[in-house]
Formats: sequence, C-alpha cells, structure tokens
Amino acid sequence: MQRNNRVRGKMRELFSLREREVPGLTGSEALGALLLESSLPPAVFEEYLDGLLEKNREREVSGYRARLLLAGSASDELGLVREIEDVGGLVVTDALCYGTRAFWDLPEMDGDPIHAMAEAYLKNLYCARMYDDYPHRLSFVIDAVRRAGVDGAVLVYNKFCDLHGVENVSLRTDLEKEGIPVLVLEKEYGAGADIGRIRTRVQAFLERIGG
Amino acid sequence: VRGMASLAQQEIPGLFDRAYAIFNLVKTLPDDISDEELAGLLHVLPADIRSTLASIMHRRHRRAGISYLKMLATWIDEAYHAKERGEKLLMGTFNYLPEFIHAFRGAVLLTSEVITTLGVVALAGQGERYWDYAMGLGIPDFLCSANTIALGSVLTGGDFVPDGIVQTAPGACDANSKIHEFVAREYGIPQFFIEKPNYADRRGREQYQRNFQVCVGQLEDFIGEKLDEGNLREVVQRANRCTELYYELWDLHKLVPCPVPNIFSLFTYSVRFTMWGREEGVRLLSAMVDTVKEILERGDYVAPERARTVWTYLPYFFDFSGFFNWLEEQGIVYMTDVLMTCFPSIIDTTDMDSMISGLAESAWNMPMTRQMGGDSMLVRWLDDIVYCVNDLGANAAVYCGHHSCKQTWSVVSAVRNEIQKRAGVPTLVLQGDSWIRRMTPMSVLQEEISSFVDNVIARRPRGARRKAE
Repeated sequence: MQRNNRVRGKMRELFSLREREVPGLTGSEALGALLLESSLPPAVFEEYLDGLLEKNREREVSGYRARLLLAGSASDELGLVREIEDVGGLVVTDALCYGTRAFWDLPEMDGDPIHAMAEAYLKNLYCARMYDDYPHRLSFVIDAVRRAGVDGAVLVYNKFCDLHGVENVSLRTDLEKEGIPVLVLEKEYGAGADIGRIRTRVQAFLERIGG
Repeated sequence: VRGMASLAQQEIPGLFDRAYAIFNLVKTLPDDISDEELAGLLHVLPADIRSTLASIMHRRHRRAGISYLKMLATWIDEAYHAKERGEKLLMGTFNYLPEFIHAFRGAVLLTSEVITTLGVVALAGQGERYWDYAMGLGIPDFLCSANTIALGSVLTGGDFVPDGIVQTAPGACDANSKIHEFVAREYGIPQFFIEKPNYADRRGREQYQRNFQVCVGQLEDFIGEKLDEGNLREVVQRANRCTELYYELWDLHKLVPCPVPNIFSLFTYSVRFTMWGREEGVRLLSAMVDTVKEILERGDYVAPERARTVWTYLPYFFDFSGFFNWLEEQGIVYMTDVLMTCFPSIIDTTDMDSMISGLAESAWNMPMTRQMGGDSMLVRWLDDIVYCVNDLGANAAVYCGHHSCKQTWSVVSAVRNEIQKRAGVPTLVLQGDSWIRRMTPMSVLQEEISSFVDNVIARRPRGARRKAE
C-alpha cells in the first residue's frame, strides 16, 4: 500500500506537469502512462515513471489552440485523446476513471491497512453510479478546471451509459454557469468507430471558444 | 434547466395535471355501463384514449375495468390533494413498495412509471411532448421512456413537484435511478434509497433488511410521523389479502383455454404499484377473480387458443386495443410478464419487527429488483421466466425489446437460448419502445407476432414442447 501510494503521488506529480501554464506533457502521454500503470507491476512501473518525470519536468509543450478538460465515461482510448490533441485541443486535465479520479486523493495510511483501504475506496468514488453524491463530483471537476486554467471542457459519454449521459447534463449546466464552454460528446466505447464526426465536432468547438 | 422550465411552464400543461382532469371524470362513471353507452362515449373521445377505454371496458371484463379506473382515479386524487392536506408527496420508482408508504398517514406515493403510463394511455399526444422536452434538455435518447416521460413533465416546471423521492432502482435500473436523481438535484429535494447488495445469499439478505430498517427511520424523520403499529397491521393485512388474490389469479391462468383476459396482467401490477394494501386494491383484485370465474362458467372466450405466451419483459402500453385485445382476437394468450413476477408472500402481522421484516422481503421481490438488481442480470431473470413458462403451461415466450433496457438487452440472447433448452419453448425477440409508438408502430409489431405464431407456434406438432429438465 505504501509503494502504491508513493506511485500515486508520483502520478499526481506527472499529471500536474500538464496542468502547468506551460504544460510539460500532453493528455495522450499522460493517459499512456496511466494505461501502463494499470498493466505493469508497480515496481517496474515506478522505475519507468521516475524516468518519465525526469524527462518532462523541464519540457515545454506548445503549438496547441486551447486547453481542455476531458471528463465523463470510462475513456481509456489513447486514439480519442490523440485525435482531440491533433486538431489543437490540448487535454491539460481530466476527471476520468482512467485519469485523475484513480489517484488524485491519496489514501490515509494511518491505522489498520484494511480499514484504510476501505476508507480510500469509499471516499474516492467519483463515479456517477454513486447516487446523491453529485456535489462531491462537481467540486472535483471544478477544482480541476481551476487548477489547470482550461478554456473549455469536453464531456464524453459512451452510448447507452445512463450514468454519465444524465450526469453530463448537470455538469454542462454547472460548468457553463462557471463560464466554462462545454462540448458534450456521445461516442461509442471505441471512439474510432466514428472518429470523423468527433474530429469535426471538436474542431467546431475549438472555433467556438476562439482557439 | 430551471430557467428553461419557467418558460415552458407557460406553454406546456403538466402530464399529471392533465391526467388528474381526465380521471376526475372517471369518478362520475356508473359501476355498470351498457354497450350502447360505451359506444357513445368512445365515439366522442380522441383516438388515443378510445383505444385505452375500449380495451379496459371490454364487455368480458367491464366491471373489473370500471373498478380499475376508479382505483386509479382515487390514487391520483389523493396525490393531487396531498400537499393541501399537509401530507408529503413522495415520488417513487415502480419497484417501490406502495404498502410501506400507505402505512404512513402523512405521506402519499406517486409512482413515476404509472404516471407515464396514464399519460400515454389517457392523453391526446400520449405524453410524447414531455419526452421531447427532456430530450431538449440534453437527456440522452437511450433513457427509459417509462420514467422519463413523467419526469420530463416534472422538469417542465408546469407540473407537480414532489417533496421527496423514494428509490429502490439502483442496480435494478440505472436509467431509472439516474433520471430520478437528476430531478431531485434540479429541485433540491431529498432522495431515500433502499439499496440492494450485490449478493443474494444470507449475508446479502440480512444487509437488505438493515437497509430497509434504516429507510424506515429516515422516512419517519422526513414525514414527521412514527410508523404506527396498528395502522401498519391494517395495511399489511390488506396486502396479505392482495397476495391471496394474486395467487388465485395466477392459478386461473393455468387453465386451458385460459379464461383470464390479457389485460389483467396490467391490472394486477397496477395494483402492485399503487394500491396494494388498500381497500381499492383488494376490491379490484376481487372483481378480477370474480370476472375470470364468470368467463370460465360462461365459456366466454374471444377466439380459439393458438398460443400461450409468457412475455419475458414488458408489454406495449401505447395502444391497449391494438395490443391486448388484438392478441385475444388472434387466440394469443398474454399470460404474464416480468412486472407480474413479484411473487409476494403472506406477511406475519405478529408485531412491528415481523411486519417490517416481511415488508423488506416483499421489497426484495419487487420486479426487476428481484431479477436484475443483484448478483446477475441473467440468472434470476431466467429462473423466473422458465418457472413461469413451466408453471403456466406456456408454449412461447416473447421479448418486447424495450429499447432503453440495457439490463435485459445485454443478456437476451443467452436468455432466449436457455429458455429453449430448459423449457423447450421458442422466444420471439421484438424491438420497440413500450411507451412510445414512434419507435415501432403497433401494426409492425402485430405483423411480427402473427408471423411467429403462424410459422413457429401453430405449426409445431402436438407434444413438440420438450418437457423441462
């Protein structure tokens, strides 16, 4: 648990690099690291992560049109994020389960480890499946928006995902109240199926927000 | 959203208010109405309502039909005037136990799916405008029309606003849970959950009993009334009477030819979702049993029996005549569906604990909570359907394909194959929306059902149905 917590702390540092005013990392690179984390043994991944942090601390990503937040349904799709970034929308932060939701809040390590783990699971549930907990989820998204100074938010939901489909209606209205322009994107789980439509909609959104 | 709502309020009268106005007229109907009077009434009604009334008031079961309409009229009336009387108006999901709320003197339960159905069957335009309004807000089109129509109406701001929402849908139906949560958020009203654990063993059942107990306390605080043991006992005793009548009707379905009118499944679960535990519910179920016995005695069948069907999920609600009556005219018996499969038990009325425990058990067995809300989307649903097919002597199964139901669509192929293996009957898989006629018109559904019965069921040699293993 201590090692995993240490890795989570480093992931937080890595993801923070892309939230900087001059980002050190793209959204697709950050997601790539997270996907590796979910596949590799922690010790191997930690070594790789140290190298990645070292490599990107001083790096400066440029050439994008707008800074975006990506939130919504499970999106472990590198291709989707790459497409969004290819047309100029740099994903500088997120509120995804394959993203910051997985590690942003670190479990408390005091006391009984089983109890600590149960606490960590129950306190860090940002999934729309948890009914009556919307304010908690909204504040997580708003915090990310403010930290990363985004120009707009892309809220995705997989076709037939009731949970995020409905949740995004509330998120959209609440983010717009905060002055954040929002694009709501319905997609297949496997966004490549209609990537042309998604590209067009992201391009139009970037034009709308002046990127 | 609320900004849009205030605009809409000026243009769209609410579904519930409109249904109240219609059902207010029902109170004036005599308990007996002649064919001639009914023909005159149907003549002046809009087509959407005509189909409903012609089906409910069919000559074979007119007395039960009038009792059904009057029961619903009372239910609507109580909800409509609840706030004036200082009672809490609770909006609930279809799998919420109405008898639990009836036991409180200061609360009234309004079931979302029943309101939708009333709107669809009783109003010109069938409630589609409320669905469209919800879509206009950005609600996804794959949500369930069963609740989104009623809640779309609430969201317009031109309809009633409940004081609280009572929920047993998480797990059993995500679409339902999420749209109710959305309404709660929009209006800042509290929700009260009875969540079913993911496991159905003893540990899961004990946890559910505790969850139910917690909800009793939460509602007592919210309503401002301690659940009274005497009042609860009266309600539970009437619920027990409903249970006895439910099984009497169930057994009558087994007769060949089946004397139970097709629409009686709908009547039965209308009671289950509204007036179970009330005198009005007992009255309707008694009238239904009497009616079936009269049909049996008179040998009053609409057509020779050609198919005995178990509907594995839902019927279609948007055209009662085109569905229930038409099936009867084709000799196709509609025996039961998933909403009927709540298998209630007689509750021990000894003391408060035994009654609360019995209510929790009933809540566990409410449709979809029992089948889908738990450890598997497939296993319990399949077990129940196979039981229904075997117990009622059905020779076919039909899945309506209600488009939003991810729970059932996700496993329908496996269920179809297993029904064939375990009960020896084929399943017709249709596609449509049970509450919205735009998806698949009734004429298309009729054509598909006809082809299935003509080519698959009616041509099977006698004894072709394999005995269940």
